[in-house]
Amino acid sequence: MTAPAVPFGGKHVLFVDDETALLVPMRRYFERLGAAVTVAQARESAAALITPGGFDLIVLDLMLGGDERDGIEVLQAARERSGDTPVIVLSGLVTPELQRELSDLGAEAVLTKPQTLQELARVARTLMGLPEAP
Amino acid sequence: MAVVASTYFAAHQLGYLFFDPVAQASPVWPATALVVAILLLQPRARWPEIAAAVAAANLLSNLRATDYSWPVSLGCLAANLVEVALAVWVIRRVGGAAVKFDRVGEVLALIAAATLGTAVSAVVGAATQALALGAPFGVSHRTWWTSELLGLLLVTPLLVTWVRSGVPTWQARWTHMAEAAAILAAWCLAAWAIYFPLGGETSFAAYAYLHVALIAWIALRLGPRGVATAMVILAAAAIYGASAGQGAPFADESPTRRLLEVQLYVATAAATGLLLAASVSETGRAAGSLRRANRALRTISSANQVLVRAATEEELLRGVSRSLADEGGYPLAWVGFLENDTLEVVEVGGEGAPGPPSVGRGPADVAARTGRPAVVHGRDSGAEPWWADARAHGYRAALGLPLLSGGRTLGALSVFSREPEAFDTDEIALLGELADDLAFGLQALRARADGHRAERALAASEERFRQLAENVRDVFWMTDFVSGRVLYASPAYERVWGRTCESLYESPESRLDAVHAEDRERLRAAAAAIPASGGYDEEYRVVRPDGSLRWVHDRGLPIRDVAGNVYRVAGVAEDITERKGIEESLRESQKLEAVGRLAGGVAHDFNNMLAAILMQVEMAGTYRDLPEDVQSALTDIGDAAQRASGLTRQLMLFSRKQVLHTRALDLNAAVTGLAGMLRTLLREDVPLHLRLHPQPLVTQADAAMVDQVILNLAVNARDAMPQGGTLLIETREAGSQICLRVTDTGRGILPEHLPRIFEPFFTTKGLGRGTGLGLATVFGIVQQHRGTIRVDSEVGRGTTFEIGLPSSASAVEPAPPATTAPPPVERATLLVVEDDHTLRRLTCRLLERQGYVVYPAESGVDAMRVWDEHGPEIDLLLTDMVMPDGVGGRELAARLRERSPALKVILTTGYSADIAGRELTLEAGQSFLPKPSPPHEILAAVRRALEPT
Repeated sequence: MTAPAVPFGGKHVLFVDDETALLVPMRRYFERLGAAVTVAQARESAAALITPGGFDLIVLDLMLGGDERDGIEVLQAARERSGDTPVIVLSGLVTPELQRELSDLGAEAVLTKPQTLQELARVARTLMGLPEAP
Repeated sequence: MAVVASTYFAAHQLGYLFFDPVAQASPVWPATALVVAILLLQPRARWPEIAAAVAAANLLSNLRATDYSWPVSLGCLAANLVEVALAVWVIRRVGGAAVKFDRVGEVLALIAAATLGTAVSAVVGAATQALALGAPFGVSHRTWWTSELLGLLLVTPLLVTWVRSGVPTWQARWTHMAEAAAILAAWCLAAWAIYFPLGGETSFAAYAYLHVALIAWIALRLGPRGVATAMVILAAAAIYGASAGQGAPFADESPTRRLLEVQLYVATAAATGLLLAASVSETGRAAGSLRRANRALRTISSANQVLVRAATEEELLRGVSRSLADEGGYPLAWVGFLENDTLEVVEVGGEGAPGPPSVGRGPADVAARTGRPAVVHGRDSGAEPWWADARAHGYRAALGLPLLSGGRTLGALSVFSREPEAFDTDEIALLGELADDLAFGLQALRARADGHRAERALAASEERFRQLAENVRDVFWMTDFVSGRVLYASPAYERVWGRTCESLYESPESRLDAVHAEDRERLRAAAAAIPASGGYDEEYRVVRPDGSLRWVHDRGLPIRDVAGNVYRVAGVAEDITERKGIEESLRESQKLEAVGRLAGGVAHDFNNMLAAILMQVEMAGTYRDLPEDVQSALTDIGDAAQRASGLTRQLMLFSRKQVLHTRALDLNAAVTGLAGMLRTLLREDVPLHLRLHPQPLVTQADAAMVDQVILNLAVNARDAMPQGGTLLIETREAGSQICLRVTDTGRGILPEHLPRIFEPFFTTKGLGRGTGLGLATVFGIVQQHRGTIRVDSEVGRGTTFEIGLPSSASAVEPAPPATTAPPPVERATLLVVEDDHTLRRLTCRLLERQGYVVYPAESGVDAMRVWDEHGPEIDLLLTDMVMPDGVGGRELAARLRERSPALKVILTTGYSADIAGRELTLEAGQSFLPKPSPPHEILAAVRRALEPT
């Protein structure tokens, strides 16, 4: 059995990160895997994009513009408006405290930066309930 | 006046009793003499009324005697008045107001008045009688004259001497009284025998001369009063005898002639006796005066010796008072000082001591107020209380002498005497000298006392200044502004500058020379600008002879002369080296914190870049058919980015405050617990020596962090000794701190590196050998524990780091022995989840060696898989909190406990940061273990978790 050529076909993923250099490879990688990608670089624009059922997955960089709180607010907005959408949080430094707080807020996964695109895609697949890649 | 008038009237009538009808005059006439005596005794102011009373009585008596013949009466009155006026005028002129008939002059005046004066008045009287009554003028004049003469010679002295001399002189000496009584008895006996005929053949009339001898005796021994008294007795007896005319000495046929003879005899005797007595008493007085003068001289001499010797005012006063009493024989003497215009008695001497103060006052008061001697004599009457008091004490004279010094009256010297005649002019002058000497002595003593006081005050002031200068830690100094010469530097100079004050006095330039070359010009300029700036306030460095530096805070202020020119500079210099050190280290730690924050901020962005690079490399790697060298280049880029990312992670960790899990721990135990690990870490050519304090050294600290500190310092020391050496770890107690000292014998730290060694990324180990975070981490941990770090380093000799942590009084919380762990309580099965391959393997082996059954898992997902197979057997989950596959330790634990609620959980992580400042909260059955932990702590944590709750 072979995996579909476009494993994320039809899935809509929102990437929130203030660092363009990071958005570029992530967007390209996921689009290559068939996902529709939307990017946002700030708290306000990200929050404005989130609507109920608008995205199948949100990948959120915690530190937006130098402030962790901004990322956390985006996470809260996602939970309020689109409760079913899984969220992967990316952060440069994950402490037990942060891990616990993010879990409490409903982040499905917390990943440390840097992270390979492959690993990111694997976690994304798991969270969206897609079959494992070959 | 009625008394005077009636007495006179009586005397007048008495005279008429002896009226001689032939002469129309009386041979016995006491009335005129009575008036003379009264006028002599009474003050002049009373004379007019006395004269009026006498005149009235005279007129009345004459009218009555002459059957109211006005011409005769008026003539007699005129004669009497002339006689009285003449007598009183002559006597007062010679004897003054205080006439006592104890001087030859006074007696001569009396005799003159009695002879010449009465002769004149007798002319008036006799003429009146002759014209009015036809009396023979010669007989009348003679009778009148002799009777008045005798009256004046007898009655006037008798009254005056008795009144003026007073009675008590006789009372005072009974021997004198007895003698007087004996003489008078003999006198009376002789008078009786001579003038009172006994009848028959027995007659002593021939012995009238006996009285002459007795008169001499009386005059010599009893004085004028005795003579006057005796003469009145003799006159009475002789006149009686002459009147009787039988067997008496004066036995002339004519009674009038007999009377005349008797009168002449008595008058002559009285005049002789009075003259003799006056002469004797005058001589006696002169002798008394001489004696008193002598006495005063002796007193002065004695007092002068006191004056020379007396050291204090009290001694002087006591000595002078004693001299007055002992040498001078004055019964009472005292000294009073004038205070607030009142004379205060300060010293009383003599028999009266301590006499009643009321005895004081009087002439002394006057002397103190007027500045002139004042004297009160016994014969002076006075009703003041002090004088009545003095008289009651037997004092008859008082002298007050002012104590004058430099135109100021200090007080007065008061001297009393029992002799009414005391304090004549000579004596007053001599005692005045004594008073002057006393005043001089007092003044000298006071000046000396003032001098002593000033000396003592000066000495006390100097002592205070010396104590201040010697005990204050700051340096007081004073220089001459023009020459720069140092006038004074307090002893603290030697301590701060390390040079002697003498060297400073000898070479003033050494002051500036000692200042650090970089600060010298600034200080010199500031000192020179003092007249304009009004003072300087500078901090500079002083180089001590041994080369060490002291920071000094020096302030200089100008001292100006009257013209306003600065001629001296005074200042205070304070050693502020310690303060400077503290300021320096504060600045240092602030700098480190800032660097840390900055590094943390940069690290984050840096990490993002690295993440992007890694992703791009990964993307690039997915292209097929890439040349092999490009492939390997991509791999190298990825590896480098990974390493860089590891570094940034450390930096992020460093820049965050770690959560402190403090407990009371023993520093000795921490060192011994790590010793084994350290020995494996050190090379063979670096032996480890421990020198631990014999008692446990307890502090409240995070054990893992303390281990980290020891580890970092040891690694640092090892790297400082590439050629080998010795590592010494010591623990000791220092005041309220416990100390960890790590000493190596390595290269040492260059002085210019010393300020930077705690900066992050500062390293001398060469590229790729160290991160530069080891000492920075140590610094951060020590700061979090409120501890201190000291570094002593000498290039080529080695370095010592000393960490001080606050000591704690609490008991060490039980921690298992580091070396041998007891066997497990019971058999248990563990699930160990750890993404780090090496660490997982090590942990599993450690636990297996203790007999546990251990299942390893590399991630949360992996752990779930293991659980599916072995779930029911597993008692404890030991899991890392952060894992790569997104299922964190906490989430894993929650999921597994849903299936098996009794499952015990140990969470472990190296990222012990506390973002929101909150403590880590754990549910029941969960515990936390920091990573990395020494093996014994891992075992202890497992054992504690497995203990039944």
